[in-house]
Order: sequence, then C-alpha cells, then structure tokens
Amino acid sequence: MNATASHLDHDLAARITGFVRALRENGFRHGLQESADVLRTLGEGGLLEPRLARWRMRSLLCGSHREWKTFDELYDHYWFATRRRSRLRETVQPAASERRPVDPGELAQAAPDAARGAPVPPGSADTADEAAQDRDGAPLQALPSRAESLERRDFRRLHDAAEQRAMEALAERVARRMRRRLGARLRRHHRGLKIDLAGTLRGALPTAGEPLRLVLRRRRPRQPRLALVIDVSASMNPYAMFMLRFARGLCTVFPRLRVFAFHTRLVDIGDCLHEPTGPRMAARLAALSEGWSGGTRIGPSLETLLMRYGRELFRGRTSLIVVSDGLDTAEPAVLEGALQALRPRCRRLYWLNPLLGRDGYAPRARAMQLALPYLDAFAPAHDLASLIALEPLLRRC
Amino acid sequence: MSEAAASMQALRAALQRQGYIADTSLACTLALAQQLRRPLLIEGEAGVGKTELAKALAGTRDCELIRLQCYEGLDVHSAVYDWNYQRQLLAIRLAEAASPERAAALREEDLFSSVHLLERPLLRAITREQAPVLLIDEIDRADEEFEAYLLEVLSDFQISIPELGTIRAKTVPAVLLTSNATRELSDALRRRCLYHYLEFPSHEREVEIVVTRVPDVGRALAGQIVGFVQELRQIELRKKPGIAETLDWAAALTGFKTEKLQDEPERVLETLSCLIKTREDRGALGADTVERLLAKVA
Repeated sequence: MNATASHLDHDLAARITGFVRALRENGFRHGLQESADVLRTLGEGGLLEPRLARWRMRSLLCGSHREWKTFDELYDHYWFATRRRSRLRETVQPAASERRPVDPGELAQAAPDAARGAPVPPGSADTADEAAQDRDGAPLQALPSRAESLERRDFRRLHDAAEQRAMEALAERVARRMRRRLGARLRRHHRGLKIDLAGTLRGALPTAGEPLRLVLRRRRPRQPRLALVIDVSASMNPYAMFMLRFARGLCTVFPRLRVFAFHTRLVDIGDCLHEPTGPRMAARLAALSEGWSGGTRIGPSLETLLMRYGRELFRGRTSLIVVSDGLDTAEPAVLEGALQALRPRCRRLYWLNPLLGRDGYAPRARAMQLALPYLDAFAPAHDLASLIALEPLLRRC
Repeated sequence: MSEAAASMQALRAALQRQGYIADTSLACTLALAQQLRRPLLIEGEAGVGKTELAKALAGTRDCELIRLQCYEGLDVHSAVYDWNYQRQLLAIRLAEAASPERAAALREEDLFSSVHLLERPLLRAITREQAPVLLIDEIDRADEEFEAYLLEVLSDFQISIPELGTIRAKTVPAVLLTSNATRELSDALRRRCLYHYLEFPSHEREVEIVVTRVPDVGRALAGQIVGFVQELRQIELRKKPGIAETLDWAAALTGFKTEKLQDEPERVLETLSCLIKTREDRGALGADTVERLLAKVA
C-alpha cells in the first residue's frame, strides 16, 4: 500500500487510512483493496479538487444505499471536524477557486487537532461493540444524533445474553427446518414438469440422436417471499425485542425476508438486522426510533408499507406477517382501507398477537376486530413455544 | 485542472452529446470506474435513468451495448453460453447421410466447436474485438448462485466451457450493474464494484434533460412541467413518475401545443396518464390536488 502512495505525504496517507478505518468501524463493509485504491487514486491528483476527492472516495468506499446516505456526514466529521458546516459552504459557493483547496501539507498540519475533535476514536471493531453496549461510557459513532430518548431505552431493554443466544439459535433452527421441508414438498410435486429440450438432445447424443430418454427441467425450489412487520410501540415492549431477534434468525436463512418496524412510523430495518452483533443491532434500531412520538399507528403504518414498499414487495406473491397487539391509536378506517388493499396482494396474511397467549384475552380491541376477517391466521407470539408453533403457518407461505 | 477533473469533464461532455445530462458526481464515478476498470453498481429508484446511462455510455465510446436482463432462475445456459444442439444433430445426420466414412471421420471437436456455440450476453461481452459496455440489469432479481458465478466472471474476465476450454477476454468490457434493492446483494459483489446511488435529478438538470430530449418544448413550459413532476414526487404515490414519464408528458403537452400549464388545467388532467400509472394513484390525484400543484409551479 505504501508503494502505491509513495508520492503522498506520509501523514496524509495515515489520515486517509484512518478515515478508511473509521468508516469500517461505522459498519462500512469495504476491504483492503478499496483502501489501497483510495490511496492510489488520490495520489493521482485527486486531492487537488476537494469535491472530486469526496466523490471518488464515496463511490469507492460505499457499497449500499445506507452507507451512501451516511458517507457525507462521516466525511465532514472526519475531515472538517473543526469546520462542521463545510458541506453547506460547498454547496453555497460552487466556485472551486473561492474555497481553500485541501492542500496535503495543510491537511497534515490540521490532522492532530482534527483528530481531537473527530468523532471516531481509534480502536478495533471490538471496542466499537463495547461502546455500543456501554452507551453512557462512550457514544457510538454511527448514530446520526446522540440525544437520548425514551424510545431508545425501550429498544435496548434486552433479555440476558444467554437467553438471547438460545433464542437466536432456536429461531434459526425453526427456519432451517422449515426451508428443508419446503424443498421436500417441491421435490414431490410432479405436476407442471417441463421438458428440457437442450438437455434431452444432449442426452440423446449417445443414442445417435434418438431422444430415448426425456430430460425434465428441474423445478427450482422457490424461496418464499416474506415480509415481517413488527410493532415496537411501548405496549409491545416486552415482546418487540424478542420478535426482532426471531426476525434476525429468520433473516440468516431466508434472503428474501424483509423486516419493518413501526409504532408511529414505519421503517425498513432489514439493514439493522444484518449487523454482525446484537448490541450493534440494538444501537442502530435505537437510532432509528429517535424522535418518534408515543402511540401506535397501525393503519397508517400498513398504508406506508403499501405505498412506499408495495411495488417491490408484493411483486411475487409475498406473504405478510404483522406482529402487533392491535392497540391502534389511529383512525380505524385507515387500517381497514390498508388491509383491504393488502389482502389481494398477499399470498398469506398472518397476524401474531402476543396478548393472545394470556388467559382470558379476547380480541376486543377495535383494530383487532376490524382485522380478523382479513387474516389467514391469528396466532399468539409470546413465548418460545408459540414461535415453534408458527412453523406450520410459515410453511404455508 | 488535474487529470482526474479533466477526464471527468470530458466524459460529462461526451454524455451530454448523447443526450444524457449527468451531474458531476456521477461523471466523477464513471471516470473513476474507467480508470480502475472496475464494474459500477448503480442503485436508485425506478425511472432515474440507470439503464439509459448504459446506453449513453455505449454511445460515447461508439461501441456495442450488451444487455443481460436478470430474472429469477437465470442460469448459465441463458446468460453465458449454450450449445446449438439442433445444429449439432443436423451435422451428424448430414454426415451419416453423405457416407459412412464421413460419419466416422466426424470428431468430437467438430461438434463442440465455436460454430455450434451459442454466445449469450456474458460470453459475447468478453469476446468482442472492441470493448463493449455490458449492462447487467436488475441483478437483484437473479438468484444468489448466479450472483456468485457472475462475481467470478467479473474478477477474472474469463469463462470456462468444459468442452472447449477457457475463453479469456480479448477486451475488458465496461460493466454497469443496476439493482432495485429487492434483495440484499452479497457483500462480495458490492466490494467488487464501485457504487453510485442515483437520485432523481435536480430541477435545473431535469429541465436540461427535457429541453435536450424534447427540443420543441419551450424552456418556460419545460420549467413548469418539471416543477409539477417534482411536486408529484413529493406526494406519497405508489409509483413515482420517473424521467421517462416527464419526457412522455412533455412530448404529449407539446403535441397539444400547450404553452402554460395554468391556462389548461383540463389538459393537464387529460394527459396525466403519462405520469400516473396506477389506479390508486389516479384516484388520489383529484382535480383539486392538481390545481393546488399547478398553483405551486406557477
């Protein structure tokens, strides 16, 4: 790496490497190759134009829309820690000559004091995890805002670690077994087999072109498309994390699973579930819920699901699973409208209600009453046993 | 001006000549992809011009555009190569019919030669004399196994065919991948590629696009059209109108010789089908909403 960057100032090269490492600590998933590429391309005059440097690093180091969205902020934090509003300035004054070009020597000088103000302390990925676990000790760098909120604390109230691990393992096992059975079902299913013309002719070559043996096109076991919508409002508090863990387990087995969380708004949390460790996932989920007000808006949330994600989601007969206690504070008509629109688009529509596991519970809540006629199944989800019992339901997805 | 900035400006101007108005950050990414010879993964909402970009890029290089449309179940036989079995059989039968000697002389190499090889997009892309632009459209629709295979092709630019041997790339194509994020792509693939997220264009840029593509439209009307469409994108619609829709609408309005949107609100309502493509969205856009939006862009 040093050889490619020999003509770069040594301190600057170290700063760039530091930036690449800081991004990685913030969950960016680029590799060593990219760091080398950044050094190399910046060495070729890229640094003379600040905007170019930003864009080049951005396309090299980002790999997903999530990373793309946070890149600018991290970039400003790292390179302009003492001049926080620099990005704004850049857009206000587009003339490049007016701005100070990022001069390597100057940057190298600025490096020590920028490092002091920079939000990313040096450290390995492990310490970042600890930081996430011990929030008050060291703030997690990836969070867009550091303001504490009640919602975040709700999200972070986890079961103890051993139970978490047991839960995840179980969720995974449930899902794996399910997938295997699904495959078996498809293998036994002989209707609709197609002849593979090319294969048949290939098989006919040994018999001088007489197609004695028909080769059939093997049907690929179709991965079921699933969408999981989880209510994370205060009333769901004891169960929400439980369900998120379950979803995380399912995610590792079903690449096509989409997971959303809502209480007053609906957000796609699939990205968070792919975080490598539990605490990181919890911290990212906490960041998402920042600034949400109280209450549960099931109807509007399902409407958002339909409007914003409907086209991509319900393309291939997706099954939808709603996890909520049905205590809706929004207009019931909205929920009814959303369910009416969702029903024909879903292969299966399930509602999991943790309250259903309690003795003497009847679905008397207005929203629940409204929803029941649209559901293929209404099931409890309050303990491990009820999750295991979901298997036959999920198998029908 | 540095070399990087110069190549970026040149690329941007070349794209503009093809009728594609790229913003500078996109041109920067493209120039970088060319410099590093790495594939470029482009994400963005439907209709922001991902596919169009590949066409324009092929135009700037005056080379062929090879497109591989991905779908669930896409396999090697439709993406890379296949043998023309019918022709092979025909060759055998013809040899047999001619004389037993010729049939005996027919060797395996004759049957499995490039004459009987059907080139599918990936193979075609690496065997051209002039490097083409390879567009791998909607990679997220293909299965994970295919993605893994693609990764191998994109890193080595060689394809092994068991009966024929390994075919190395004569020229390295410029590879563009697009994704609509219906499935999480593998980290390996994302790492292999440069990444660019294409946003809907700014007002000025979209006006520029409309004026370039629909020359008959006046600049004032183009400004109004774009303003209206951009307002529409702010509303929660099931399908947001893309740039193609804007262009369709501009062409339609020009056809009706409309000069100002406010003067002909009923015309706007009639031609709204250019922009709005689902029944629910049409229902959500009543005459009053349209009036309100028109007032905004006045």
